[in-house]
Amino acid sequence: MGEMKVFGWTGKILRIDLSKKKVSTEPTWNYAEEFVGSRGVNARILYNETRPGSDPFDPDSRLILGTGPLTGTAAPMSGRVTMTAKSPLTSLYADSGIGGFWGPELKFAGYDNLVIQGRSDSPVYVWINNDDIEIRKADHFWGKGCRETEKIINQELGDPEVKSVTIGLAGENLVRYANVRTMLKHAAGRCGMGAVMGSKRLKAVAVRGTKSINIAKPEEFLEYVEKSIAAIKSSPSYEYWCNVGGGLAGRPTDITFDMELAGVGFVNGPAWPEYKRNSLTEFNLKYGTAMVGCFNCPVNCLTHIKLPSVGSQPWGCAPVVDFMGRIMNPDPKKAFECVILCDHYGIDTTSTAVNVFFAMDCYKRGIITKKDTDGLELEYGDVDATKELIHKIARREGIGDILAEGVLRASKKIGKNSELFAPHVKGLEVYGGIAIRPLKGYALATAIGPRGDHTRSWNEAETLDVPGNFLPAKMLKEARVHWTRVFGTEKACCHNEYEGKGSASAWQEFRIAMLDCIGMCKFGLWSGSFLTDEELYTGLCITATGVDLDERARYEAAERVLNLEKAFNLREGATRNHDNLPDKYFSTPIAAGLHAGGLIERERFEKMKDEYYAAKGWDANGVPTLEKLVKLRLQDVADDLKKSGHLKKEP
Amino acid sequence: MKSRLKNSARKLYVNLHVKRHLSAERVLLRKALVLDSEKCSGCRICEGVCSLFHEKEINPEKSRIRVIRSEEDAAFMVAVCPQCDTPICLEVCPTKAISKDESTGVVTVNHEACLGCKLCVYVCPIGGMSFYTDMRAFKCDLCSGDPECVKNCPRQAIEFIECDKIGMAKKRAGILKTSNMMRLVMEKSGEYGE
Repeated sequence: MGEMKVFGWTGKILRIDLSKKKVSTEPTWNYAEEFVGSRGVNARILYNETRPGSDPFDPDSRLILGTGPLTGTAAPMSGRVTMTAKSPLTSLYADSGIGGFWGPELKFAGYDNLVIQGRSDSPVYVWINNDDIEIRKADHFWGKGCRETEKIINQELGDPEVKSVTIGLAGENLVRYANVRTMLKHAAGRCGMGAVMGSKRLKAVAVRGTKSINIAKPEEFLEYVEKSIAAIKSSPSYEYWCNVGGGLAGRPTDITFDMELAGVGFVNGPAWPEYKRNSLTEFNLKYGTAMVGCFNCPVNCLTHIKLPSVGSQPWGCAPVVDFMGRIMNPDPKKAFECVILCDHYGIDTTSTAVNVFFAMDCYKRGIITKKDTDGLELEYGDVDATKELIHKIARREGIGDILAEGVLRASKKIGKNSELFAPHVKGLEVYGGIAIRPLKGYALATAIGPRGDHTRSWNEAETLDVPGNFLPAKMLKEARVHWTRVFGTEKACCHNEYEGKGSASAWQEFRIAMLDCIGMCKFGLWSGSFLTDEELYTGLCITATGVDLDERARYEAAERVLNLEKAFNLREGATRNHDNLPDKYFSTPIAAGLHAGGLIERERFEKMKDEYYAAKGWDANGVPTLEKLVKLRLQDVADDLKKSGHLKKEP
Repeated sequence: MKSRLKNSARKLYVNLHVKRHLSAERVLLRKALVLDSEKCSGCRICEGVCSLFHEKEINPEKSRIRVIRSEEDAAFMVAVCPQCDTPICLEVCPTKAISKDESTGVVTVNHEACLGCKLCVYVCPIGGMSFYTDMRAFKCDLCSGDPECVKNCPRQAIEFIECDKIGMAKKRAGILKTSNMMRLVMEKSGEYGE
């Protein structure tokens, strides 16, 4: 192909085989035409190169890090990377986003995606320095924490501008929900990416790039950049999110607890009288020093906390609710201590909190005793015990070795009906930050989401009619009008409605996948609705790449990706029955509070799934139809699904 | 002959007088980039739009403004040429490739004359001079009066202010910070009348 100039993309995918110690590249255009980039290109490579039924820890397993054509450009919110692998928790498709500054640096080094395969004989790290790739020894910092590792690498390589993704002890010990981290807080948190990396004895990937990303129409692109930044800043909730006291760690989360929409414990239900109103806002105001975030982001959703003699790092998002509501601890200070520990070990706060609370539930019911916990008493809300468990899990010591397997496997091992207290979907621990029973659409999204959760599938319109919603009245009204128009029914804005939620999930999946594939942050479409104008995304894409990546093209690529992800799961044996929720949400109404009586009705839940599958153009079993796959030019996938019996072979 | 000399003298007198007056005016029009590190979130959009505007590419190494991040401190700031009144880089350049425009105050590197010896990079006390392979030494030129970084910084951490107003702007910002702090302290101790 020669040195033809490429715009937006770098044009090269880097492949590293840790078994053969081989480095190679291939053209991004092998995949980008159909799958654009990032999540899309990653998904195609994973599908092509994963043997169905294989063990996620197999040396042959793929760990893929992917940027999109807009990643690293001047477009706002363009700093994220998608990590893709077969999850050690679910043995299904998984993708996990990671922010910070690593993704742009990979682009500046000249690569769109990085595919890692094989397994090293000894601990190593990869060093990508523009065209020079080295596989270097990591023995001397194997065992170190994530941030420690980064600093050691920067010292060793003599350049403070090197960006690294790292694993901690949890990843090294193959804790099934170990994460991959960068800087002080950013993480590819869910689904166990860190464990896959650890199984390859890969401690870190360090990158430094000084090349340029070419832009097809620089002046016009700059105009779209300016317009996009202005759009973000003028979004109604910008001020609300982007100041200390607000953001993902502060007032919005306080209000979620006030609305009793945050998960508390498991069976208990979201009413939580011990919660002190405004406690998170006050904590963040007192100890927060700045809002921080990712490359090129005007939002900066994380709050940097400086807590004397405890630590100095950002927090926000899931970790806050994980160590407050989920384990029933009302003290933000103690929650912060748990977060620091998890970030050091490189372990997903959401899954960790679920496993900790699972142990607490089992202890409360006598399913496990002090004998099993090495003398630890596991009372609800006991943060000291929580911290002990985090240590044990990361180190795989005592009961930690069982919990490190995740609640699905742990409950099987423990037995005694402990499965009743193991909240997971397809093996992935249920996110505790949002209560399931009050929000029917959220319940559906959690059940049908490609990786086992709601994040790529939930439209938040249904929270508009929940009392106590923090949006100003005028915004609430405008939002209702907007979403009613989009979905053709007001029911999408009603949390107790079952109808309309299937279509809403399908719609959301397209929008999120479209964003993911070009390399922009999902937060543009969530809560704050910072950047929702498809015309701006189109403008950015076309002027950056010179390719006709308009809304229709992105939509089609997104549909291709979503069908491919579904086919991957079908190939691994997932069925309609796996699109399900823990029994408790169907059997136990919420006992008290604003949403007392809240329950998911099984029959209506199944109808939601029917509506969702139909909206996706899939059959009643959730299998993409032959017509759909052919139209999307996924003939090979259709052939695979015929072989597996999901699709009928022609007579 | 006498009248011609007189005319020349008069012209000279007028020119010198007017020029000095004009120079003073032009100097008053000089503006400079003023950085507020407390507002900076370290996002690096400024680097992107700078390289995009000047070089038509995205590359922080080709940006005239750079972001410095201190993660554990959550402290971020930018480094960019302040267009010194008496630039050291100008003094040390062996080919006199660096010059200063009297009216705008902008210090410019003549790329053709630049050897790439990097002396200017070494001597600048704040690292305001950038350097990149075949671009050799390059630096901020205030984008001909409409700086891109100022326009695009989401936090308005970079402002473009007339030089003679910078002092007061900073003093006002400083006093506001102090008085905010003082008010917080007094509120806590109950001394603030409400």
